[in-house]
Amino acid sequence: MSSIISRRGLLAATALATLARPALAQNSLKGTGSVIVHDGGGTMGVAQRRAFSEPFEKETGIRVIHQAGVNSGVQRAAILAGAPKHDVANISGGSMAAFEKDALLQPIDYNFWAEADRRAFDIVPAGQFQSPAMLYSMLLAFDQKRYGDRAPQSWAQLWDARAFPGRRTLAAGANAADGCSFEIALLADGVAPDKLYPIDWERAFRSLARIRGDVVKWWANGAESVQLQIDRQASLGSAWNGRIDGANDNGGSIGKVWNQGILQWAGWAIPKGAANAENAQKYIAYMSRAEPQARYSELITYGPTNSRAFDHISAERAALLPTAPAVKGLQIVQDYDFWNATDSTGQTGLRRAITEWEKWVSAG
Amino acid sequence: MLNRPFLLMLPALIALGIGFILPMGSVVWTSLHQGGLFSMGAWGEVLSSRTFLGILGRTFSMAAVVTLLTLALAYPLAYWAATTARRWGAQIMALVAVPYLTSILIRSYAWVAILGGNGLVNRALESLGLIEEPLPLVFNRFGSYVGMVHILLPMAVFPIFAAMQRIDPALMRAGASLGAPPGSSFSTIFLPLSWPGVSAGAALVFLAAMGFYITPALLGAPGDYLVAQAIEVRVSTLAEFDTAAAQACLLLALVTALMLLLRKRIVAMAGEDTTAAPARRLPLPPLLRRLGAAVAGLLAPIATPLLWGYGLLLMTLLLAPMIVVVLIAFSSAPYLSFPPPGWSLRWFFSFFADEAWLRATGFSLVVSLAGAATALAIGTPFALALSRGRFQGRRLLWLLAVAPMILPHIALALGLFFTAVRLGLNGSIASFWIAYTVTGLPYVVIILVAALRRFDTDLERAAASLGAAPLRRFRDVTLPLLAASFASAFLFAFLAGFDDLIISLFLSSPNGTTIAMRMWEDIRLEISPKTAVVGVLQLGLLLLAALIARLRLWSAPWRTR
Repeated sequence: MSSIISRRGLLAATALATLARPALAQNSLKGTGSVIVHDGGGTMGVAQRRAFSEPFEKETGIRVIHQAGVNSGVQRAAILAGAPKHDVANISGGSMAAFEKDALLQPIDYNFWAEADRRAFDIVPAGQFQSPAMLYSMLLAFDQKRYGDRAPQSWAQLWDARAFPGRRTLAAGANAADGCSFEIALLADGVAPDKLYPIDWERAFRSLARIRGDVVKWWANGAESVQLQIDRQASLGSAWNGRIDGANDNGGSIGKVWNQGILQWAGWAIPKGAANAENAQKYIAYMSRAEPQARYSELITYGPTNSRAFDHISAERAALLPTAPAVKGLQIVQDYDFWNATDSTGQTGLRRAITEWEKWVSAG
Repeated sequence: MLNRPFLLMLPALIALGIGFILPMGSVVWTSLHQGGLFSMGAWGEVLSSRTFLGILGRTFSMAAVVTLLTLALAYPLAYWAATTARRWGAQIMALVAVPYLTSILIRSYAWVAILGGNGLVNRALESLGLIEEPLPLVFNRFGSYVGMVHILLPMAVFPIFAAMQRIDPALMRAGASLGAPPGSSFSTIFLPLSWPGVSAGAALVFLAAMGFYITPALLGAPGDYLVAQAIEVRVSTLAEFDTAAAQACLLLALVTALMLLLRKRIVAMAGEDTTAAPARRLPLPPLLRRLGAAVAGLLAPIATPLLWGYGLLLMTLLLAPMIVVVLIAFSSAPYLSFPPPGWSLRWFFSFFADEAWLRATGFSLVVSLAGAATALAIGTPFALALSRGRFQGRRLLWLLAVAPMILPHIALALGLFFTAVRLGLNGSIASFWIAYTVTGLPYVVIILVAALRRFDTDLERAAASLGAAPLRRFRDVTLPLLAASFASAFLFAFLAGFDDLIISLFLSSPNGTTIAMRMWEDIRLEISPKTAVVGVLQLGLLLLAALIARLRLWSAPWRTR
């Protein structure tokens, strides 16, 4: 704890120093017209409105239109048809590479950014075509009431039904990279974090077969992962950190383990053919700043992608975030390059996961 | 006008041209191109994948089992509502539609709350000391079947009820007075006369079941992985449109072939049967018919209490998840939990305070009502031409109108979107209107063709001979007699639009976002009781409509008899 405080003190001092310096020659974000941005819905949509959209409108005079999000397949179809759904799209890290490869995105204009902000994207760097939007982590979640005195610490223990009896839930493999079940299966089987990729499919499925009988349900979506634990249909499983916190804010008692968590991210990008590309550049530049990111992480437990945001986040809140200095080293950043690379069978990791999963469940 | 069936069918054909044939063309084109060049690669891959063919086989067999289960449960229920409980027929039908009124995710949640290891049934059995370990009632094949049959039951009950309701009780009395034992008059008079309803119900249930994937994914075993999920994941996650399109085309082709193979049993067209000898036309093996007669005869003396017992039990099961949903809507908990820890109206306030949700609800109501009304308006003359006309290719036309239901919606959505962009309709309300007209049309055509087939045309001829003009004849004679069929056709067409998520994801724009999308984005991460509120409001609307119908439409034909 003390190390965090001293680090915070240090960071605060740096922040003051930054403030004292004259602003760099950075392009103004002022503009006219509007911009259509992805809205994640629910708490996420509200947080985005408060932290980003409303202050952005005030500062720039550009009207922000929130439009319901779509999955990457729909967004891709829309860009191919020349009618993208948003000026500012939110694309999961696992899908981003395919969008870049097929030239469906416009380059980010870093002239609107402060250089210090760009440098502070230190976990996932801001790329030519995308700006990381948020970090979240797939964690081991467990029933705190049941295992409170002897909490599981690793995925291997989730596999140990004798030491930790109870029904399990993991993401169905059709969720591919998003569900993390293949990485989790390998970690449980003793694969070292730095040897995870390329994924050994045979070994992963052998590992999954060992836990299969204890899995009451392979969850289909993020809501289900936590709902099963709230309803006590399952006592152990995988779930996103934000979902666990959401449940606990509302009276749940789900424990979470940062150790061996799989750190994932989603990015902001401007689709080819976006009608308000210039305003989209400005909106993305605004969201790269430390203060708005800090406001966002105060409202929802997604980790800021700009590490300078921690200068503005209370220690109490920071402890809940997956990118908090104290826990970020315990987790493994998911390797989206692997998931999008073609293997010896000519398939990407994503496709391989889905076809192998279909084969596995069909074989009963 | 009936001499020129083409004119009667023209409006529906235009709608199908824009809303189905063009999108379908785009889907076929997509399946035959890779990287912009012509290629059979996707087809080769789909046809050579043993896993995919296995998934396809499983989908067919599960849909067949679900169809049989649904019909077996629906027939006695419809019989009860149309005969023993005739006075309450309209109310029973309104309640039968209730399972439809809530989003698929929260409905599935309700089933987990009832059937889960920690659910109502297991807790009740445990507290009675009947079981030690919870019974596995969900997250297995049984769970899939429960969820699927539950939501498909209305599709079978409605057309069967509509057919039974038009059977003149005097016919049965006549049979009895001529000395026919109850079992025999049931199997020679009642069963054949109700058969068009059964075949329409079977077609609706089977075709809808072929497109299912969310219910088995949430309630079933991991192996209950169906073809619509395989296609969905290829579009949404992999954005591999060519393979998905080839899979969808293959599915459409196979189902179409099956329908053609079974054509006489599924859609008998006018001219292929005569009302004079219904018993001989009944497409059942004699053994089954005799068995039916024997069972009916055996049960006749205790039929009334038995039917009431069965009817009330099945209605309870049908309504149980909705009761859970209603209770959740009044929950004070910020999360879904059942039973709710306390009561409040906070989720109603939250719904009515949320401008985005209200706007989306309004938008959904407008486009799905417009779609359903259009589908009914163009589907009625289309069904009339099919069932009364005497021309070649009627069955193919029937299949064309039904095809939007067979093609998995994710593929239809992709095709509709590309078509809308090309026609300059992207982001317009018109694109939704066309889409929901076309998705509503199969329900209208299946239900009305079945209803019109058994319709006594003598009544219309009598009206004509008394000098009634065709339109007047339709309004004063046909319409009131077919009121129940029209009502159910409209209801299903409306719900096909109102419940749609997949098409609206593709067609959405800042001018048009549906309530299904709002619920979906809320639900992806956490299910709040707010989605239950939408179900409760729909329930309120339905009960209101049923009340009005009770006062006007439904009661009319009975009084005239």
